[in-house]
Amino acid sequence: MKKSQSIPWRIGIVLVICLMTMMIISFFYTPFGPNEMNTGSRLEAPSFSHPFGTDNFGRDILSRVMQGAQTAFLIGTSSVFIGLMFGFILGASAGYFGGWVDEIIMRFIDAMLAFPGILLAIMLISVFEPGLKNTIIAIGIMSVPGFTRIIRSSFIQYKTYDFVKASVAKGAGALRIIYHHILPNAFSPILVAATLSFSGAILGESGLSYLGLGVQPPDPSWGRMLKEAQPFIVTAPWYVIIVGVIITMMVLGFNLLGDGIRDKQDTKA
Amino acid sequence: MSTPLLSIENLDVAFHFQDGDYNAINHVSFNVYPNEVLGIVGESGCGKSLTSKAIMGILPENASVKQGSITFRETNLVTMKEKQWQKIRGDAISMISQEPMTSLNPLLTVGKQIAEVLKQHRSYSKKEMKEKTIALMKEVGLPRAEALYKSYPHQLSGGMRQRIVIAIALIASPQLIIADEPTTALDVTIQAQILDLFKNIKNTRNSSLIFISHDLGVIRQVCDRVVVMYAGRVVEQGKVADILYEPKHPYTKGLIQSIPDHTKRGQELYTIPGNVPGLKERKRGCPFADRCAHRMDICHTHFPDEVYVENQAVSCHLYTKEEVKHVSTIH
Repeated sequence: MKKSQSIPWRIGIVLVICLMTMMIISFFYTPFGPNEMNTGSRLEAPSFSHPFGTDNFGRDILSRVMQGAQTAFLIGTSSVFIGLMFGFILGASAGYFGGWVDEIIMRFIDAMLAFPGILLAIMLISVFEPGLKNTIIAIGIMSVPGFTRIIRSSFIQYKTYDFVKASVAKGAGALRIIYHHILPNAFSPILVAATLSFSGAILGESGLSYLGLGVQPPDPSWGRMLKEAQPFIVTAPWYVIIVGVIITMMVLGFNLLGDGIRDKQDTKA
Repeated sequence: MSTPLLSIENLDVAFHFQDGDYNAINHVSFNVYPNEVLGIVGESGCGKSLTSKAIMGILPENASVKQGSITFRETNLVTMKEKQWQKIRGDAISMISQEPMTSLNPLLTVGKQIAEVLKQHRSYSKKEMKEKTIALMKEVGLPRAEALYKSYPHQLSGGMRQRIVIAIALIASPQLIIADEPTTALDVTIQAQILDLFKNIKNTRNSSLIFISHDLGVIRQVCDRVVVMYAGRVVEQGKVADILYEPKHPYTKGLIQSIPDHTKRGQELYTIPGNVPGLKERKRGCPFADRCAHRMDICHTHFPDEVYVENQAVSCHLYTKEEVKHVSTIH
């Protein structure tokens, strides 16, 4: 249990809690309206009234970063949810039933993996239309292959365990065994995958928004803020740096958290 | 005796490998009658467990029944679909596995794991299920059953876990219970307690029991009849007393000779020379031929037919010749 107290794990927890608090506060309070423009104070350096400075429209960057956290968490959780749901259905059936079911599902997953994820997302978004909903769907689909593989491998592992065989001998059907006997035991690797995939989703959203395909104005999104900050990289460097640091914190935080959970499991095994 | 509850005829189970199929069970035939305890003995790798798995329809993925039939209550189990199997498993036929340590789900309370069988096969209310489970837990000798109902497998000792596993097998009052080396993983004192429990089950329940073991001492204590298996074949079967005191097959004789007892004190214990031939090394003829002191030329080419000698059925060329004594049938 000592291992779970490792420094990276603590850093991860602190980062995630900080960002989460920021997101929760933003529901009730932001120093300025996130979309409130003030042409009188464009690209101001950080000061007491604007701790993170202002952007090219004179909007308060802190308020927009806080509001953007909502988007980031929304996209993270919902795309992980989509990925988990489909990944579970596919991975559990492939792993549990094996044989030709496994063969068909895994070849399909291999095809998805072979196709660059971000390209797939861009394609999906250009077929439909850019926006929050389609970004979530695209990123969710991108994460399906990873979940499928992880869930499949733990199902293959647990399928050979005596207690699973014993429940077959009790007369339990496939669904019962999958839900009651294997899933709870496979929970921790799935949790690790979900945490790591969360940071992947946030990075994906930033990437898509940076390309202008993700969240559309005026909703604040970290990726798009990065894009907007790019022309002013020389005149207002803090804009790029602050947004970049926030994204890094988020991704790093969830990665460290995921690693920490994995380490914690290793001590048990 | 009455009609058999379970009747296995000419069963062949083969493992499929890259280079072909290898029979792990060859022409196995035996019956289980209502309310009897049938023992299956043999060394490791003789196909005892595989036979029981074939009865439950839970053969490993690379094995299948090649021919023969397993008839249970007038239905041939071999040709059954998975859905029909699910109705029978745990309800009409149940199994007690070798490993009480690993055959319980570590994340479910033991009470739930026992009640799960009822949930699967009966439509009781939650309260009824719990009552029945606790009553049975008491019956299999678990103290403080109410408290244990909510405990997890890791909180219990090996003997208690084995009692839970036995309770799982008994809860639906199945007609046939298969106990696959239920005492092997336990230490001697617990083993004795579990054997007492089996004797109890035998006396109080209307179930037939197939008791698999490699320990003839254990078999003697609980079984009525015994089937001796060697390298996937039944070599001898009959009543326990007959087999133990008047063994006919050289393999059975060897097994009995190798049981330690007080009369053999100070002497070197007898061992049957050699090992069970591996699956791919099995040739035509009697698989025991290479280890047998009485082998004849015919042993290497033909497996003997089953003949009745005195009170038991034996498959050995020593008895297939002229000196075959006429005997009444076993049952």
